[in-house]
Amino acid sequence: MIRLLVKQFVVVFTAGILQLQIPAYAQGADETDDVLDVVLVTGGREAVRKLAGAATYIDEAEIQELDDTDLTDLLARSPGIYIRHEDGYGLRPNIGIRGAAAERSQKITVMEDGILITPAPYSAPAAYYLPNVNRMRAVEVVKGPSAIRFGPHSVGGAINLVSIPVPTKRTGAIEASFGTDNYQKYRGLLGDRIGNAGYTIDLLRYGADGFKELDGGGNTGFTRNDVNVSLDWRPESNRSSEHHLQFKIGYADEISDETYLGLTDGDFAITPDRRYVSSKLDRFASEHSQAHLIYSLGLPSGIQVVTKGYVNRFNRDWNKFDGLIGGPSVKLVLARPDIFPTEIGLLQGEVDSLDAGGQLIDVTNNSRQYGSEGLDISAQYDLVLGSFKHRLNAGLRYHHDYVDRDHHQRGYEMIGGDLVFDGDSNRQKKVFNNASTDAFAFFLNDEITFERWTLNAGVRVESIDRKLEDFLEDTLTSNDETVVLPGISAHWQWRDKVGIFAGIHKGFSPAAPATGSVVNSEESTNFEYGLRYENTNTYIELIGFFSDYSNLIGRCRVSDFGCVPGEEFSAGDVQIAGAEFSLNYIHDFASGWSLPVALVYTYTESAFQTGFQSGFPQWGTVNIGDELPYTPENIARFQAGLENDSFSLTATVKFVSEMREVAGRGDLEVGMFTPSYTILDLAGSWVLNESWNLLAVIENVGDQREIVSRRPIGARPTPPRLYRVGFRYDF
Amino acid sequence: MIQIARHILLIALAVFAGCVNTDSGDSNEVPTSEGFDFVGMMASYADGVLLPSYERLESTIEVLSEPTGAIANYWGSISTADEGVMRDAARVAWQEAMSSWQEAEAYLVGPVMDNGGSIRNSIYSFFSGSPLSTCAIDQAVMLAQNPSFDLTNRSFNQRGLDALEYLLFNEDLTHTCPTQIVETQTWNIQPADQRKILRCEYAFDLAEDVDLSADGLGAAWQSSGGNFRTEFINPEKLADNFQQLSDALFYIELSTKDAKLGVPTGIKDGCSQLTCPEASESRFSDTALENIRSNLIGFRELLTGGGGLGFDDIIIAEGFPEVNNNFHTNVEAAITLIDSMDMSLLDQLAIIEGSGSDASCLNSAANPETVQMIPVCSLHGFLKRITDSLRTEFIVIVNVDLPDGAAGDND
Repeated sequence: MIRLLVKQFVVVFTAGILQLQIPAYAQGADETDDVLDVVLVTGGREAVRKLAGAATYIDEAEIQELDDTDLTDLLARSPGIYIRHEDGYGLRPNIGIRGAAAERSQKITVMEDGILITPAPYSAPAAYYLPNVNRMRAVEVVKGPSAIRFGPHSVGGAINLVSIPVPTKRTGAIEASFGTDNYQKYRGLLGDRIGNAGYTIDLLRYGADGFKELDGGGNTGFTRNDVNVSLDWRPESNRSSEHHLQFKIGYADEISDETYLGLTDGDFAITPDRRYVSSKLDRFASEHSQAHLIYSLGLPSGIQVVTKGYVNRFNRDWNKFDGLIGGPSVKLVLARPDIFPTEIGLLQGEVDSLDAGGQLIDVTNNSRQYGSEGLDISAQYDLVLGSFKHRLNAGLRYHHDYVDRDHHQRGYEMIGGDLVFDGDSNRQKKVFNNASTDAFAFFLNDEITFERWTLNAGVRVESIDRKLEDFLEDTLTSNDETVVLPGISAHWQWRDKVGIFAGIHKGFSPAAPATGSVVNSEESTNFEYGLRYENTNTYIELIGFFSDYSNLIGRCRVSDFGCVPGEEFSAGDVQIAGAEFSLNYIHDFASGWSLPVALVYTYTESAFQTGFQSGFPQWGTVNIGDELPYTPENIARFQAGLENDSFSLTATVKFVSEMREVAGRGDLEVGMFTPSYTILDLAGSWVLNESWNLLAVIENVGDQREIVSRRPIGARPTPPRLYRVGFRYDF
Repeated sequence: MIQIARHILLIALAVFAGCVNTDSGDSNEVPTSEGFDFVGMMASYADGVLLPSYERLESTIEVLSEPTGAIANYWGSISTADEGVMRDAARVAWQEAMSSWQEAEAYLVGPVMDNGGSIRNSIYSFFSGSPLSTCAIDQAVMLAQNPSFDLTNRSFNQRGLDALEYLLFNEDLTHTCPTQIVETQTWNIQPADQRKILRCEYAFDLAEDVDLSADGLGAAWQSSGGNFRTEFINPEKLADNFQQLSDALFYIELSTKDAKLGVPTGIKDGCSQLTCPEASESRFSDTALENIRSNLIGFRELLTGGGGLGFDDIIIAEGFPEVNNNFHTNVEAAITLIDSMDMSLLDQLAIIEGSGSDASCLNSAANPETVQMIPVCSLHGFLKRITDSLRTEFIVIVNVDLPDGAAGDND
């Protein structure tokens, strides 16, 4: 498999190089950090603070502070991020930015080392694969006009996960953590540089038995494995050019006994960790492989050219409870168990299936194979014209991705509290199709610096060809689209410590191939404006944003009963606005101790600008002024610590206000919103010496059990109080 | 310090936070009963109206059909001193069962209408399109003596509650067939008690047959049977089932007002003479008015959802409580009028016939509150007020279509 990927990659990459005919002469470029600029999209923490737009940089120390394996926990450090929790471990995150739908992170651009990494970002944007954040060096979040460099989804923003680079000298580490519910995490890291070449081997395995309790017993946990090998070649600089070649291959798999099925509110109140026996057969199994090649070339004229070629493959089978064959929506059964006593009894295993309609448990294997590959070439050139310094960036990317869907259904009778196969192996497939996309993306950006002013003007062009072949309907539909996405922003360093910025850009999120010609892609006009204050111990950022969607799209997923998976719904004009506030402050005591404090707060309001009735269950009946679902008005994260060179103790409080689960306004209806909740996490670390570091974490100290969502199907809890202890040994 | 910081933060957020236009305006509002619990309403109908109605039907028919039931008792009492008492008891039991059915027939949704309404017709065939055949019943009474006789193969017009009515209420023991019908040629020469016994025997079989149909109707809704209840509540089928429920309300117009009152009184086209008593319902028991009373109770239940959510709640939610009030006023007036009548429908038809003119009837129908010279015609007037409101205000407020067959009204 890996060999095949490598072979495909070499073909693609070579073709790209030949087409572009980059001159092979250059002069050396400065390289001071082992985290290479070419894999960062923000330029790093300092650059973020001078950017003419909103961005967040989360570094390795922050990732290791709580030894995070859940990307959504980590992203709470950035304002403007909306998370809809699902399984409690962040296995399949739902991440939205500035109001863009969080649903399976489908409206944001996710990259690893600046390379598109979700399984098929154009053809099937729902991100069923995201890299394990625990193996990352940094996480970058880019919002506002800065995001137009990173498509295709730019309505909200982009997230870049920066992997561990090849070190400048031999280093290694071993980590192990153990915790509640048999949580185990093991990581091994080894890297070295030999002459001009270097390597990194990064091994990660983690898993748990899960905190859910399946009726009648059974597995509810997961295991993930992740192997990545990076090779690096950086010859001595000479007068003509500087070359830097990186090659990374990776393999990741996951087995998780996860389900879409949640609980009734009544059962949740009694046993939030309960799982109904009808989800007993649910299992997600995936394999992801990737090969990334990055070639950086510094030319004597100052031009730096970076070429990225990539091949990603992702296969998954998710055998899972999918309702009652011929029965009512299970979402409704869970919402109204009083009027569906037979159906809720079937789900709970307390009623046996009879030979009557709607009493067979639907267990569907959603089998999908994804692939993406592409070539991305970008160049940067610094130019001085009088008092104006120009930094020109241009890039061209060809990307191809696809998804093969094969969803086959089996029926099970509930007999004596157990699932019994009904013997029919030849049911009609639910979904059997292939969607593919070829896309060219081009961007041009000029960053102009004049005295205390920085002006950024750029444009992105996306040209997309889509195709959908439905083998059940025996139809082939295709369409194409070209969009021009301009953006402009300005930053004024008003005082040495105070900067002011503002920007506007056109956001875009392409429609999936399933739409045919009925629904247009999502587009928006996004404004942001803000100020930053920074001194030795304090950093404050306050940003306002306003997104005016001309065509908000809702995409039906398998878990949305009452619509066809893949079907897209248009909501017309929608406005989303809010404010983001960040504060970082550190107080140093004379004793060597310090008190770091960080506050992140996001305020959001939203309103549909048209009234309509939608088949998309999350919208339903919409009136003008109704608020978007899953967009909490207030999100806050406060962290305070006490630390010195050896010890640190950190307390983190996370707050999320009520969230509507269906569009609406005014009073919240019981069962149609998730309550607000506040979670306290504690972490302590002890640096024994240069090599040994111990860590202890208590998540959800108060054991707050609240409903975080009633999607995909039924009420799902915040995780219970969880303990973890671990060590890291560096060598 | 904290207070100051908080105020600074709030001011800063107020300045920096973008804001959206939340003005709902007054256009583009979705014309639906927003937030109305339609699924709860359907469940309320299933659990509070339809299923209890079918349970009442089953229990009242069982009183007739059980081996120790009313018909069996009457059968056993023939030629004894108790015969008259037992016959009257059987007739009362039949009337109870008929009333249950007349109420249930106002709910023509789901399995009762499947296969061309086969369950409905096997319980009661008045609206089957094939009128009751007393001759076919007389034949069946004789044929039932044969062990190979299978009642379920007989046509609907010789089965059901209306066939039972003929057997229990018809005092005339002579058969109604032409002389050339072979099966009944020996009937009239048999002793009277023997003919009563034979009719009772067949009536008992008929009651069991109706009981089976009523049980089947109830079972079709149960999760252990056809599980139609789930299908009825399923929101994915809400549009169809909701429309069926709405259509069912129009039974009060098409069946009750027009077929049961309009045609017999000659108010409605379809009667070419001054009156048409032969078109009236339950002629042998002369209980047509009791049937109409049960229809009105069924209508009221269907309008209000029994004690739960119903159409009346949608009407209130849409802001038209006066429409509900009008429905209730006219339904109550109609029931009160029936309760006050001391003459049956057939008796009143005879009065019209005796007058030689339809003037009194039409005057009563046009002014039901003030002119009640012919009370059944006034009753028609109250029903027309109900159905006029149904086909105008109701369908607009609830946003449903007129059912097939109700598109025109030539009253």
